[in-house]
Amino acid sequence: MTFRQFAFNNVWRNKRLYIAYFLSSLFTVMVFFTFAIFAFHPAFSIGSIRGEVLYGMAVAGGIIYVFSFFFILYSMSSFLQSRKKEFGLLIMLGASNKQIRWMVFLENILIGFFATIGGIVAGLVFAKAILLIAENILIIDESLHFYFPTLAIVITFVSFIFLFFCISLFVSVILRTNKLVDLIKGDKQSKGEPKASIILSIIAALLLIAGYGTALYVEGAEVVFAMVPVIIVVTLGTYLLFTQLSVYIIRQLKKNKLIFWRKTNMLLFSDLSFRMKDNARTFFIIAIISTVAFSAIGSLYGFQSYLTKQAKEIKSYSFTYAPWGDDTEESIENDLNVINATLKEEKIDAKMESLKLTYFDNESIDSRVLMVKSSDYNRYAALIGEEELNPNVNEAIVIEQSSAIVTYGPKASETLMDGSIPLENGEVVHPSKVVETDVLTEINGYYVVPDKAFEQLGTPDYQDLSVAWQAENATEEQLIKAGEKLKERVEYKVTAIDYTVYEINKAYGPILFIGLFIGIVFFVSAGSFLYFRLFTDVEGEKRKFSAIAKIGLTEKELKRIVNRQVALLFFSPIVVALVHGAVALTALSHLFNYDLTLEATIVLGSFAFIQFVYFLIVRFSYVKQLKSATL
Amino acid sequence: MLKLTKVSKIYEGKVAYRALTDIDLEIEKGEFVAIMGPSGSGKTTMLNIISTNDTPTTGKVEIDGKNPHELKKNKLAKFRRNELGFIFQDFNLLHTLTVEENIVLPLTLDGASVKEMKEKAKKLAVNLGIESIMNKRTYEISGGQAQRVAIARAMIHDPKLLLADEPTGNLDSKASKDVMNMLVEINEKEKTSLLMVTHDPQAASYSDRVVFIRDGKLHSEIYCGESRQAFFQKIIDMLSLMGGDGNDFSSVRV
Repeated sequence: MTFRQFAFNNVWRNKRLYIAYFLSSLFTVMVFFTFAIFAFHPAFSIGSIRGEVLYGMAVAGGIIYVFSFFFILYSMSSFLQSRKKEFGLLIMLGASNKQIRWMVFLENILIGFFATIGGIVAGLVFAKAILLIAENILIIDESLHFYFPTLAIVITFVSFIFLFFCISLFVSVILRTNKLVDLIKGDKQSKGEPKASIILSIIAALLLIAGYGTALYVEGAEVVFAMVPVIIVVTLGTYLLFTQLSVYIIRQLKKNKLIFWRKTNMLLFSDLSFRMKDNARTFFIIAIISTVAFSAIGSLYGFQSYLTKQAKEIKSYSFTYAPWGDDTEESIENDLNVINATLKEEKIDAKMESLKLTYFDNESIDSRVLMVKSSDYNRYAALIGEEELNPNVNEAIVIEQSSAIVTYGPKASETLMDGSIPLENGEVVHPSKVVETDVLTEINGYYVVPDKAFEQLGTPDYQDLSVAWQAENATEEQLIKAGEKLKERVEYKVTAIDYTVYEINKAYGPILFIGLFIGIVFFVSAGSFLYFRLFTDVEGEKRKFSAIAKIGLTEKELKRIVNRQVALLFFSPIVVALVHGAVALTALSHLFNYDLTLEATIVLGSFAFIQFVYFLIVRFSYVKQLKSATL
Repeated sequence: MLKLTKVSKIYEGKVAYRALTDIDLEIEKGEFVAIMGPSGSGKTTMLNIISTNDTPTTGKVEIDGKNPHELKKNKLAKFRRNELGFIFQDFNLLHTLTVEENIVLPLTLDGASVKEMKEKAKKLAVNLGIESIMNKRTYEISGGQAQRVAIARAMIHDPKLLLADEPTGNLDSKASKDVMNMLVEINEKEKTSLLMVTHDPQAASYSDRVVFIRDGKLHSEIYCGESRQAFFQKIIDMLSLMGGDGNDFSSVRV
């Protein structure tokens, strides 16, 4: 048996030991490959996808690659940790350090090679599904047909063989020469609990409170400035939470014999504190990674819903027309004819209303303001089913946009409520109340005055025209089609709401998809970290439980211990991440002044659900393994 | 106390292997019995069957008139926890726990009160001379101390039957002597029945009776007379009569 054969057989006959490391490597390759299939799809290189999107995909690919590197590195180092005893035995038998590094290097190359091939094959199987999902989310005109991704295969293969090669070289750093006795006793010695000081625990709590407080308190543009400090403070706070506060709490629990010595608690807590150093680090990594995933997906989803909702709410008419300031009567007439003809062409029945917008310079509020006759207003209101307004004599109503618009400074209504409108007959009209409607689009708000008072306003200082159509019994497709045609024929003067939303979705789809993809990658790898944490120690746990089982441990008790142990491992970092994510999304909703509760609940809820399912699966296999050892 | 009637064990496999054949054995309450025999003679199999870790193929095991092998799995775990005490060659202490926590573990699992556990652990620790190491971790203590901790753990719930598998196998002669003296003391004071499997004639000489088995069958037994020294000599004689170490290949290895 040559040394090479030994290394090979070591992997081949120890399949079960290597399978976790192999699978997580395979999974990483698969993720990268499916992304590559998508990114290199021919539809993108010839189609209408813009440069920024391709650039975004390249960046996303880079992020996934860098993350893969660290993920595989972590998997490997925890895998090597669990084999300390084996290395110790080899050294004892006279293997040199160089030989052990060579062996690990060979193993890694072997596993890396098969993981790359396996990942590519698995990716090919899933490719069709990914393309189908992408097609639906992206709203791409061309369908994403299945193709044989030669370029993606080559790129994935080369980059991952390179990655595994680099990681294999890294081994020498990880395999620092420990003392032989430490290696052999490896699994028995505790790495110890991190030192827990009361002061640092309090600081942890304070940092988190301060970070959360700031994130929740700031509003509008301040959110952007507060973001970086808050992220730093909260990250630091999270680290201290797991390394200090949790250690402190467990210590206190252990001191209280009434709790610690209660039935199976002793086994649970002693185990927790025994591995606290490893656990704290894992918890921290998982909490941060999951927070990134939650916030990324949550904000992208929220942002999309914000954009489309805003577009839909501000212009609630199917089509609106506003001419340029210097358009002649004829060209306006011509435009209107074209629009009406197009609508007819698409068989859309639409009610049309037009209105001369009259602006007056107002001294009391020191700016030009739009005045609308109440009868005009009511005509428009009827079109979209808003309530009619009938102001009394010498009374004006202030109208404000109800939709969420990012505005800085005082609200439009506040300025207008302080103003007054002088009439030509010497009387003065005062605003009486504020109404929020979407009837006319005017960011700074406007006055609705009674018809009689309107006649006394004199000549307007500026005039504009607004024409609106409200479609009746038209399908969304018809409206989108008409919008597309109108965009070509009348260019920027027509706003077709359904087409605009469609365009936003189309431009936004790839970004959402990339965000989702990266978010899911992060989330799933957080799950893998957990899996590794659990199964690195499974051999020790088996020994422990078989020792206890000899003394007498019922299956119920075993399950109870394992259940709590796995649940703590799975849910404590995720709960922290969920809280982080919720705070981050609340801050985001403050930035846009837009309610994200529904979006945040959907995103965070589905992650919590997935995590729960994952917990059930892992617990099942973990309990099964432990039971096989005890019986 | 403990009664084995025609216990046989056959390991099924490609080649069925008969590990035990028609073993009849009875142990009185408060008796200390050692089982000796060459490697592969079936000592450990027998102990595993008595300790309910393994089931006999045929025959019956009775502990205090009850057959534990008829119990359901969960009841069996409770039975083991309450009626039996175990001492292992490699101690089987949990390294995540301190010495004191290891000792009280069986009671903890049963949900005893902290005060009771503390008191019992304290009393045992004083008897066994380990009260100074109660707060140490298991990897900080020596083998002899570890075995005394294991004895304390086995004794804390006052078991009816104490089972020991090579308790001196990992210890030096001084520690072996201490541990054996302790077991004898427990046996005399608490009237706990004791069954010990061992290779060590020195350890076996502390017992009241030594049962020799060979090739899965009872070979013979000798009782302790007046002097421990003479008993030790008888055991040595019996071992050399049985063929000693030279012939202790099991039938599997040949």
